Amino acid sequence: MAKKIFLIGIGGTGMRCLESFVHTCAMGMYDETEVEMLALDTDKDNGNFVRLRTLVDHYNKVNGGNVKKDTFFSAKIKYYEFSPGYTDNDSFSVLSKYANLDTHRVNDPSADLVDMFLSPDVRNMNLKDGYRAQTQMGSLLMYYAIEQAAYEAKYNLRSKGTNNLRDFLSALNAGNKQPVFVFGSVFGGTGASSIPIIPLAFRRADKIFERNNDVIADNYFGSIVLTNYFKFDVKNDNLNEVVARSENFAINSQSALMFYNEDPTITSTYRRLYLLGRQSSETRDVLDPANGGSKGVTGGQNQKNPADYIELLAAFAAYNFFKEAQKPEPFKDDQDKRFLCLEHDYGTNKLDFRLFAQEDEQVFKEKIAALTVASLLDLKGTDFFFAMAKEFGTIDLEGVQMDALHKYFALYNVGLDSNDNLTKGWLPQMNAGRGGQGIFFDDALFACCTLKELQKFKYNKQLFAGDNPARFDVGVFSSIFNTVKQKFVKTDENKRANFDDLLSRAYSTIIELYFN
Amino acid sequence: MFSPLRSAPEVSQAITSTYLFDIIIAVVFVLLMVLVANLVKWQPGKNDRSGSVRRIWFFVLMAVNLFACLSFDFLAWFNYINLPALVSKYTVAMIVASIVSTVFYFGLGFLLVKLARIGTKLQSIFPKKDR
Repeated sequence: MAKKIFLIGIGGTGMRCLESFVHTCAMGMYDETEVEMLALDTDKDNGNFVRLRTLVDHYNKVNGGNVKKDTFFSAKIKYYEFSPGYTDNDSFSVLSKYANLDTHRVNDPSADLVDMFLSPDVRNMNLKDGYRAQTQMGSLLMYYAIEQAAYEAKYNLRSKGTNNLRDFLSALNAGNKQPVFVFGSVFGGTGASSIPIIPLAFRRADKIFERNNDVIADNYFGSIVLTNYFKFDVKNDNLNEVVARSENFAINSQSALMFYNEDPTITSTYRRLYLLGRQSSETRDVLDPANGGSKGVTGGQNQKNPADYIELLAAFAAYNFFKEAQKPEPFKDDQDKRFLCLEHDYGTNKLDFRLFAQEDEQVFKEKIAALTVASLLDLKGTDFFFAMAKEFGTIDLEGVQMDALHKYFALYNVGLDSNDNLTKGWLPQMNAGRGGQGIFFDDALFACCTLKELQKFKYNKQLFAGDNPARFDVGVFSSIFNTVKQKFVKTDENKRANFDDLLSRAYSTIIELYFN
Repeated sequence: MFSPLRSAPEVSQAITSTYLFDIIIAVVFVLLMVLVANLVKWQPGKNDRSGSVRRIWFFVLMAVNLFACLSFDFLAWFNYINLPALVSKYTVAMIVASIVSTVFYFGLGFLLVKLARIGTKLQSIFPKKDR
């Protein structure tokens, strides 16, 4: 029977962690697994939100809606979204009817209480682009938004935003002791606001739906505590305007860490917290075009922060959590310790597989290598999957799955724009974020700037760096394509019925070439 | 082979040998065809024309097979027939044996191609038509 795992990604950072997680699913790290994935943000037009939605859409088209084993795209992902749907008119003042509170200030201390935490600028700021690091307000509003969404779902009322909350909670309530992992940052706006209150808000939502279960006690919740790892400069001539400022991220993180360590709500809700961060001197400027960013853009559909390896580390924190949850006695060895930490000396060389996957490093190495090579084989001019599908004779060469596969690879590694220039996806963005010190593979792979260079790159022997790297030989009169195809033809030769067979044979072929 | 043929029985024996050696030549060329087919690389991209290249080689080798048989028969036996009366008999036999050899090459080669694993280079010489 397929395993079931639950993920919640909150805010821009949460979306990017989910992106990394989807890529680990595409590699085949989650065989025979159903993933219930909830993406949650105040800003439904946020570029990262859109990017995740697009990525999951491509993934699901390639996957075809089934759980599988020993192949690419082996997990089945069910994707849900929740967004309060704030409009241009929505602010804290409007939603809380602050004007009424103010009027009755003499008899009711509510307005005074609000004033203690929220300045007028914060109360009146437009919520459409998120909470802008105002977590004292964000927590209240997110809890309220989830509560309201539960009422809307229960009474079939029209929702301003996107509300798949009921379906997600139904899936969560369908089983017992299910692992739920939450992604989000603790230094920004939406994630920092929502991580502490999400389980409680879900419990409240279940009460509104009149369910008898306790979503917190009946399941295992885990989360990352992701401290500041990027920065940006915001051009803001109006010093009074409320904006998220990256120079505040460090102090925000510090405050959050103190909170997470001591708050009884957190300690009674989350089984495990994974503390992640990087040295502040190495914090990445996400708006720098050299890092794949766009200068001066924060919030809205043009905000698409580039991928960072920290987000993949977060995805592997989830992997660790889910692995623990599968044990006969989960979390038994934690013995009430609430924090588990991984440390890496930034000064050493390439970030390697062990840092992410620990004892499963070889599995991770094989699978990420296979997906990366598959993406290179799919490039224009090589068209490996097209060519193999053509020989099957049973696959629609211009169909939805083939098209989605090409698009997925472009997001995962490299693609081509309309002028045949390379567009850099998730993997090269992560490498760029390392500042040239590299991640996983030989730096020469990421040094290729044109399609021609990539097509000439000898990834059969140069994919991995170091001594005795995994490789396969290509004959004097042969080529990489020729060698791979010859191996493919002999691998599981009876499987040639459909697209799934194509993927699983390609997967087995590449792994056998490099590692057997 | 390579010795004078002075009598009708010797020529008859030479004719038998001719057929035998021409079949052996056909087998050698079939093996050569298989080798060449595997040396021709698969072409990357959406339109792999390497199957056509292998097919061309198939027919080129078939033609060379015919020429090789005729040449070998000429050098091994035809040149050594001393009796003019038997030359025409051997000539007919030589031509027929060469043609038989070529047909044998085609038949054996075609059979091997059709028996080859789907997706192999050999099979691409005469692939199944798209449905």
